Amino acid sequence: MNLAWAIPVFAGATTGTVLLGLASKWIDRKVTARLQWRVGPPWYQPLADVLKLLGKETIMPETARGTGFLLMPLVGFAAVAVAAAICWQAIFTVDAGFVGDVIVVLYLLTIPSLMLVLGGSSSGNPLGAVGAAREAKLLLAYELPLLIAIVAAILGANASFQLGTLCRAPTEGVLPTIGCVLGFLVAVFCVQAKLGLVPFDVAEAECEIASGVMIEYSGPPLAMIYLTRAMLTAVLPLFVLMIFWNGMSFATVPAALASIGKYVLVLVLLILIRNTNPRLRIDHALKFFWFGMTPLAIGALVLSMWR
Amino acid sequence: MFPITCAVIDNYIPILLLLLVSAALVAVILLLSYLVGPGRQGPIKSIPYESGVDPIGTARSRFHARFYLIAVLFLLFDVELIFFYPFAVLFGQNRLGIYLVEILVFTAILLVALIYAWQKKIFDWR
Repeated sequence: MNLAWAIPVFAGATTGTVLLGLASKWIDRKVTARLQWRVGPPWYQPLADVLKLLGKETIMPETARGTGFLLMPLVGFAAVAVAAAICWQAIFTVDAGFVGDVIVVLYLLTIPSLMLVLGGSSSGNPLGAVGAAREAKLLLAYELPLLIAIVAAILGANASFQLGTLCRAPTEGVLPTIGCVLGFLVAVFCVQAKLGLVPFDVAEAECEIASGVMIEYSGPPLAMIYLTRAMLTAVLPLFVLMIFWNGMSFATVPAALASIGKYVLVLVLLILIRNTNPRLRIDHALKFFWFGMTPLAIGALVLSMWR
Repeated sequence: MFPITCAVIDNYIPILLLLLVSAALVAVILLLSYLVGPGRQGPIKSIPYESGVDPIGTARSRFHARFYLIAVLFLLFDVELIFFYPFAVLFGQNRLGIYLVEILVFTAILLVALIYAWQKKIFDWR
């Protein structure tokens, strides 16, 4: 990544991702409302929520550890913003990335979850600590199958581990394609857990532990967490598309329409899974990933080796 | 195979700078809202929220040592899985049997560790 290009790319990517994330949040709320026979909020509601939170007071409990508590929204936002910049750059310019940027993006996208653990355990609230412990366990569960599924995609596409080339490499052969589809399914469930959506929202669980990790957050830090979540809602489906579904292209109008269609499809799939499942208990969620998704990802890896 | 040259490190300098810039941006927003926004702190406001009940005890609960073992195991497998990425690239390009044998030996060593952990009942949650 060229330093001269880094700042304009970063500014554009962050603004674009924030807007796309807020739009995705609105689609999420609107589809959820329609599924529940409600009208749903107007298109500007997520932005209005963020602006209102920015004008509120930051309240920090006396038992909280200030550094960890305030560091969480700061580092989480920064990590997702940089991951978004790398992804967008790979979409628009093939040779702009660097070898291993897939791994860098993967670990940057892990940071928000780690920050939730840090924030929840620094909040000085027992329910926050319970949420932090659950988030940490969930992270241990979904990270492994996601990594294996991405290896399967790299093998299937016969590509390097550079996002720009990976998202343009076609899958060859029937078995690698089946492997890629299996990997895509695994990745969708891992993204669901990464976003903290039902059935994997054990770390928040509003009715049970009153938002868990985020229980003590208010005002601007909560607005930043909301923005980070919105950006993740934009970046994660984008990342999955880039790895498993030939990425996104805006070179021609039909290609752009197809890309937007693919993105909306993945987003609606995540929303439908969220709205049609009950919350899993933490041990059930771990078993789902360890004994369900991990073998499926290994299966995808083995299928991708054949050609 | 992948020497750490200046060119490789140069790729990560913009990332580090971008991380710092975006973290500073959020810090400025938080600071501005602290300076400009409303601020009426009080003893009742700063009590941890527990659904309206006065908090009892501390939030710093102790965790079972088993979680530590699981975390270490995860870290090991997570880091070792990164070695699959260069394998995937090389095997995808050359399809040489030697790469397959090497990765199978590597996986077998990982499996031995996993079976040992399983026998020690590290994954039993109850």
